[in-house]
Amino acid sequence: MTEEMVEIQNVTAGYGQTAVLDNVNLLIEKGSFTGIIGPNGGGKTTLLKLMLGLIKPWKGQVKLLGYNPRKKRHCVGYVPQASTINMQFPISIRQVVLSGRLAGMKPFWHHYRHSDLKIVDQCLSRLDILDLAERQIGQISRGQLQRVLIARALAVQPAMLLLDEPTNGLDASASSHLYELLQKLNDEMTIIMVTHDTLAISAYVKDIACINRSLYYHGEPNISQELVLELYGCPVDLIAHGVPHRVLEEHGGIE
Amino acid sequence: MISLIAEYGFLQNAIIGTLLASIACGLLGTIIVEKKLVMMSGGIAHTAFGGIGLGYFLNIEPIYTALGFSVFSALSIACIQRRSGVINDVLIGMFWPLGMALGIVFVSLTPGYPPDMTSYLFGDILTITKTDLIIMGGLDLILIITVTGIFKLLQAYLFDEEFSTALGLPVVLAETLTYIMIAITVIVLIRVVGIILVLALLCVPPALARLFKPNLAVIMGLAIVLSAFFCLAGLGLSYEYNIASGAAIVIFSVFVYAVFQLLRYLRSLFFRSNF
Repeated sequence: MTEEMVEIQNVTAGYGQTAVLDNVNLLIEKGSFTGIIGPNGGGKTTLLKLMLGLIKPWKGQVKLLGYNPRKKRHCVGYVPQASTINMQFPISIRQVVLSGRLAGMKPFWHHYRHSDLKIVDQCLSRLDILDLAERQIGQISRGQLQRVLIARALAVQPAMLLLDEPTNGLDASASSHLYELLQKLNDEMTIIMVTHDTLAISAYVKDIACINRSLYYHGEPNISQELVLELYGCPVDLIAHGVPHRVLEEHGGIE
Repeated sequence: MISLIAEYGFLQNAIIGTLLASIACGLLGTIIVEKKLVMMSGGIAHTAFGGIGLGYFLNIEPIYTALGFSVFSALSIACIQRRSGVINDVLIGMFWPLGMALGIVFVSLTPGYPPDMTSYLFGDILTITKTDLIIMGGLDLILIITVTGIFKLLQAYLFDEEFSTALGLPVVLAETLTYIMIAITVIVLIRVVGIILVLALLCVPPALARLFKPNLAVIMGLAIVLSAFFCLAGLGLSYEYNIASGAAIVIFSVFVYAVFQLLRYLRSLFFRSNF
């Protein structure tokens, strides 16, 4: 039996008076690893925000684990874009990851339990950053920061991981490391990832969803050139050069 | 100097006043600097002037109306910002002078001689009374209890608001309390450096403390010590050279910050690998 992690029904949403998403329907099943692709301003991040209940849809319904996202969002490990992180903030890596244990906290006089500290240690070592635990956030590299943010999301002990452009600013080797790690994590949890990395995505994810104002495609990652043309308005380099990845099915006719 | 302090009650009051101000300064200054709310705090400080004018107009002790006024405006600002998405900067540019304008209107409506506002604008630490000290101490206590009480929430809110919201943390509570605490801090500092000079005392100690890259709690502690040092040194300078105390504190603290940054720059020239 499949279980719906996210259910988006006839959703229209936007900011101010501008609709960014128009009548979107999307079902994310338990255990899936979905890559959301689409052009800038196509509504990918808006879709993530809807799933987290950070914004409300104008029309339609968003359900997270069968409930209003606001009720269930503490079951989601959210990995925001690394560029939104304040690298000047005086906080150690361990404290950052510990903040993932704050879900359901009492606002006053909260104390971390011993189990919280243990979980954080596990998350840190799982992402190979235990040795960075006492460093300040400003003293680590971009690739390490991405790992810290994933460790924080894992500390939530989520049923689902939501990642917003996790490979932005990473080099090719760091990106493929990250994707392999996500593939492993996918054995335990559902993963949704927004990305621009159309090259690599089809080699790692199980499904893709193409978003540009509305949902163009959702299914196996065999993207046709026609779809890409429709989505981006121009052919996007879909073939990974020299990398033996399952990327595209054969298609003739485009000269 | 020591014998002078023992002899004159107003000097004792001044010293206790600076220490009480330093506590508020270190705690909230750190929050303000880390959350980039410096200009916002300047705006809230200036709305307090409207409250002082209102106090004179209604013939109530101005510090009480100033407190009410600045808490009210801080909450309204937070609310407007959350609901409407008006750009922060623009909002500050409006309520900053609005508070001042209201103050001037209230004062000019007050019958009789216009009161002397300079002690509220620039501070006058030598005229601090016992009642002022009690109010400052009470407000400090509120700040200490709140900051220590919500410290973990505060840290999460300051570092990554979006993640905290996604985690279901009471971010709105953290934000609301932060704004209320800024308003309270302004009132604690008014007697020492005045509305116009508040910003320097809020910025400089945490800005200096964070150069040592410690954690948030240590920055707060260090900022308290530094602002006590600046205030006492400023007080000494003001006594020695007979200049306004608020001005002496501000000039001295900014001077120390500038010297420190210059030394850091020079050091980085000689020891390039130190970063």
